[in-house]
Amino acid sequence: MQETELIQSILNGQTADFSQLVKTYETAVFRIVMGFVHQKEDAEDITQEVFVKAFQSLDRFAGRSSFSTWLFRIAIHTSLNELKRRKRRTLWSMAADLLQLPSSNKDPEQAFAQKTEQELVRKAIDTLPKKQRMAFILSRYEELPQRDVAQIMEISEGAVEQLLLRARDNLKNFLQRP
Amino acid sequence: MKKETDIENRIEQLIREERNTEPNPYLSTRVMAAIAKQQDKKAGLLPMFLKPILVMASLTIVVWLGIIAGSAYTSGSTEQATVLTNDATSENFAFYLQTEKEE
Repeated sequence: MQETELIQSILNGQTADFSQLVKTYETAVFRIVMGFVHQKEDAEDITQEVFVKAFQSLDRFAGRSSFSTWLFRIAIHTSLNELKRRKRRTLWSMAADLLQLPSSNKDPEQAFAQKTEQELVRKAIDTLPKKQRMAFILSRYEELPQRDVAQIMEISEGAVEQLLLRARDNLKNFLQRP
Repeated sequence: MKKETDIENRIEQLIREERNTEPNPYLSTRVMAAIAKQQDKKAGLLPMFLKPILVMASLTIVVWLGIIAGSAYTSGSTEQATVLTNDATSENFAFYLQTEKEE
C-alpha cells in the first residue's frame, strides 16, 4: 500500500494501519530524538509522544511535503519542547549517567575517561544554537542530504550548509577549550 | 591545542555510538497501545457528558409520570349497595331438619 493510501485508510478509521507507518519510521525518529536527548529511555518516550502527536494531527497533514518531512518536524519540535521542560535536570541523574559504565569489558578507568569525554561532546552539541543543532542532528544522526534538511527546516540548501559549517566551528571551539 | 581530526573523531565516535543504540523492539507496540489508550479516553468523554443529562432526563420523566398518574386519579364515589333482606323469607332450616324427625 502506498503511503498516501495508507494515510487515507487511517483517516477512514483503520487505526491499525498506523502501525505500518510506526514500523517504517520508528528508527529514524528515534535517532533524531537521540541526537537531542542522548539517552535511550528518554528517546523512546519522546519517540512514542511524536507518533501519538502525528496520529492525532494526521487529518491536518496536507501532503504538501512528504510524510517523513512532516514527521521529522514533529520529532524536532517535540524534542526541543521536552528539553525545555527537562532543562533543570537533577544533579542525581547527571551523576548516575556519568557513573553508568558501558557494558564492554574495557578497563574501568579508561571507560570512565571515555564516558567523561563523551559527556563533553554531548554538552558541546547541546550548547549549539537551536538551528545549528537541528541541522547538525538531521545531517549527522539521520544522515539526511542537505536538500531534505532544508525541506524539514523550511530554509534554503545554502542556509543549511552555512548552519553546518558554523555548527562544526562551534563544536571545535567548545572542545578545544583547555 | 588539540588537533582538528582528533576532535572530529571524538564527535564521530559519539554519533556512531548513539546511532547504533537500538530502540526497544516493542516500541511500535508501545506506540499503538498509547494511541489506543488515547482513543479510549476520547470515547469515554461522551458518556461523561451524557451522565448528568441522563440523570436529569430520568428525574424529569419520573416527576412527569407522577403528575400524570396524580391527574388521572379521580375520586369517584363508591357505590353503596344496600341489600335489604327480609329474614322472614329466609329459608327455614327446619325444612332440612324435618326428614330427621320423620325417621
